Amino acid sequence: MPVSLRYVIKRIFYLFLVVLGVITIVFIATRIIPAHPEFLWAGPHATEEQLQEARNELRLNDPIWVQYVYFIENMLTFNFGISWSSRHPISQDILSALPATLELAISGFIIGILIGLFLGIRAAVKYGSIIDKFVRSLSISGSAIPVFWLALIFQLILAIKLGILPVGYRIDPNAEILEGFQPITGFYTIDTLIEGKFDLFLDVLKRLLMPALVVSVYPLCLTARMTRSLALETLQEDYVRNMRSWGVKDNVIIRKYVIKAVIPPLIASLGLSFGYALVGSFLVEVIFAWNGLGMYVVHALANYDFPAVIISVMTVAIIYSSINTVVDILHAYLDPRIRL
Amino acid sequence: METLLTVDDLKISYKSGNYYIKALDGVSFEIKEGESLAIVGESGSGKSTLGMAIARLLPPNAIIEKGRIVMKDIDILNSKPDSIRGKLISMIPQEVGTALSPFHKISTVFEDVMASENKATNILNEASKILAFLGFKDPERILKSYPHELSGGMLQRVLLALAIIKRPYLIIADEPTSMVDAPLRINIVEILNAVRKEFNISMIIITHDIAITPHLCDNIVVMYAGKIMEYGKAKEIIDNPLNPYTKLLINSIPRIKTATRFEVIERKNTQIQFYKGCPFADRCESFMKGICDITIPRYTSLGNRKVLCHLYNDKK
Repeated sequence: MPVSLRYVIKRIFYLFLVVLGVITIVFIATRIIPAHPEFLWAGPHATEEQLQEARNELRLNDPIWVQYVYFIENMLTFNFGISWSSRHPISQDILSALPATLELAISGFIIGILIGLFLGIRAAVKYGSIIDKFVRSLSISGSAIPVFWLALIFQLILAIKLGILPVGYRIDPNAEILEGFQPITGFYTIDTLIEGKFDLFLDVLKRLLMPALVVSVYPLCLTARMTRSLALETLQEDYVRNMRSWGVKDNVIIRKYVIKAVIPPLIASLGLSFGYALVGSFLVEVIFAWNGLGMYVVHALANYDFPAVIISVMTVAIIYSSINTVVDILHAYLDPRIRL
Repeated sequence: METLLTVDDLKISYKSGNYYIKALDGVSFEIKEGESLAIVGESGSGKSTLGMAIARLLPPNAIIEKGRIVMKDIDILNSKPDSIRGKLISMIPQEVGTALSPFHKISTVFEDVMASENKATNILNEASKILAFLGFKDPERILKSYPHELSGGMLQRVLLALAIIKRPYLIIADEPTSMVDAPLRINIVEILNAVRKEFNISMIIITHDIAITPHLCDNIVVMYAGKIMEYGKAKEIIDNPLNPYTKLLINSIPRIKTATRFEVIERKNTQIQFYKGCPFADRCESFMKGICDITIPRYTSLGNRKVLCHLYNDKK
């Protein structure tokens, strides 16, 4: 076992600290901005008394630190409260929005790292060639382009000009009525397959493809750039030259040895790539009317729905930190020299 | 004995930006079957370039300007590298610690090295046999190990096994003793000699450690600035060096019995100068003004010796 229990416990403790830090920052931010959520809570045409009552109900009259302690206390007892805007339990809201975001982020992430890995290796092997120059400029310009702008351009070209991909919504809006589609896991690609509705599955896939491609751009560029430099470094290694001298063919060296040397350090960057994919999804969701966590947060922010904002951000922080922990442990398994 | 390898007037330069750096300047020699040849010289003398040229491992910025390398009627420089490497000529690398992929077991490397060979032979059996010959008591365990689990001396033998498993005619060892401590040095010399005898493999030993050459090699090529300064039988050269540079090399071998008194030859000129004549002129103890700094010396044959020096040009 390259990973000790002590290490895992330490990482879980750090994860807890990170989440606490994130909650604190977002909590303070939401309390110091000049906002009046009580107006929304009390509804239009509320009297001054009703507003006062709303303020008491939302504990907005207490000092910030009292509000904070109360909030943390609720967090520790897994009482996430209800949304100020939808008045549903926040945990329920997030659980129904999260699968959409994860489905988008994971597909974008997978597309990105696969294409990035391929392009990075090609570029390193053909160092200085046209492919190399293309990959280098793509990886720099790709990470410089704002995702929301790219999303609009994709829509303009793929949906409006060429008309090959549908735009907006995760599934045909009539599917629920016409086909009797009921989400089970919330991952529509999986749900449609479970229900055996293959034409709906294709529809879901088509609708997923464009936003996923947009989300994939950041992880793709990061992966391509890292793979290229790692592979170039590996190709300079003594053992690559030695294997050539013993007559091992170049394609075997690249397929087996270079890729294996590139992947462990690349794994370490996967956490960052996934972070990009997750953040990218938030922006892309709004543009593609994708009912995920990004849409939920934007809606919550617009309505001064602070608990919903904090808990959404906390959810993302937990996902991001856990993935980084898993990635570090995976790294230890793939690189026999590492002991954690 | 039949001639195995002929290197004929080899000239190689490296391109660096807009400059060309001369690495080999008209190198010619021969190796007979089963012979072991040492190439000695200091850093930058071109000995590694020569080894890499023979093994077809020159970096992309190396330019072969002139010359031929022929082995058993095969023109090495104009053949496909895949048909040469490992099969005809193999290499033992200098640096042991980074010589094998840290992510793969030794057995995987053996399998990949043997992948292009006859599929009928059991690769790992063959590997175990060679490892056992090289002195491993438990070759199966070695095959299952990762490189970082083995010591430097063990790795060196594993590398040797990888180099000879395809039974090449010639192996080139780049500084085989430079990275190991003194007791292991003798061990490696013994192993290399045993391999040579058992498999009838010719060897080129590239080294700056002239002290090990009489134990390991029949002949010596002494190189300086891309030229062969002296060529001849190892024992004869060590006992009676003719070229002033060879003398310098041999005098700088540390000896325990005579205490540590090094004869350091100072430069005749305090400034480094580049003469048009002999490349060693600025450091030579027998520097002759008006000759060494102006004209390039010719090779002089004295018995089975070849020397590049003005001292002997006149004696002819």
